[in-house]
Amino acid sequence: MNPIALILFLFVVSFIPRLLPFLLAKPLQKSKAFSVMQSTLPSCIMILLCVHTFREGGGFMYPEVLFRLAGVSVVVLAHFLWRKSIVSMLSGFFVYQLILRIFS
Amino acid sequence: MHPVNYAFRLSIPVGLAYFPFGIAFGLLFQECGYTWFYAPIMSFFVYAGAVQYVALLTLKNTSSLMVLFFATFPLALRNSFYGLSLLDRFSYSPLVKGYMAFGLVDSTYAILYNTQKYEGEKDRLFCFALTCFNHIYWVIGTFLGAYIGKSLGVTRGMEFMLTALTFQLALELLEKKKSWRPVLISLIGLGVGFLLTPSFLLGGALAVCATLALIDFSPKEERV
Repeated sequence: MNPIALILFLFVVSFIPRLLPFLLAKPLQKSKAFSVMQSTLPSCIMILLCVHTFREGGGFMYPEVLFRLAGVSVVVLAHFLWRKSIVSMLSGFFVYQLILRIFS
Repeated sequence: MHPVNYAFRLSIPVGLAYFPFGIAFGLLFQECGYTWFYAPIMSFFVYAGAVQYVALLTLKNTSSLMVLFFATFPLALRNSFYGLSLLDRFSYSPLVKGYMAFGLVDSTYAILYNTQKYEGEKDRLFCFALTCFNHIYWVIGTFLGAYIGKSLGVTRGMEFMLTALTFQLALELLEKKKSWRPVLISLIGLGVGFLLTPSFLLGGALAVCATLALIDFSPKEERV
């Protein structure tokens, strides 16, 4: 496929869903249901995003899933130990890379 | 702290995650036979990592626009939920608002939702700066990947930085909220998504979560 056509196509496909809430904004914001939804939905989105990014790196295939689980465990542990996002991310990443190189 | 400085500080972990992910994308882009400079152009105009990845992987097997649409649109659809939480913060002119909507990707959304609001103009500046920084990281990452990616060596497992970032942001948010309700609703959503829409898990689970979050009307219960 022509790269410019591909870029245009993907621009439309990815931009329209992001724009939708702003087009529907006014009537939505006034409803009570909307404010109730807003108290829970963002946290749900974050949890679902965790599953989504976890799955993106090779699905739930064995043994890759175990390596990723180990990496994520280190991120969680490091978060509670040091409370620095960069430190947690890098610790998890290095442990994951180490395991990946040792076992594959 | 100045809003731009604060936005920059918060965007550093995103940069750390986007650079390796962008590099991996740039390499994949070249593997698909495209000229390298289209990769940063695509990242600038599309700015949707997962959609871009899936599009390239789909194009390896087919050139049908219909197939491409059904492979990418459900993935892009998840972003339609993000703007809902930030409607009140995005009070910009139509053009800037359009850009802010365009730049509302996973990480930007998570940070914006997690952080304390500034007042008025400062908050608008903060949101805009954060969106710009994250956008720039993604474009530079793909540029590096496409241009010098092959000489950088092995990139296997680079995408884990994005997973680490998402978990980190989720932990911060859940700690702040101190409630099991979102966890419970997400688990139900994921269960239903796995059963009914396994190939479109995120979209299916999001739809279920949004519905369940709507149903919760009890005013006496503790708000999350």
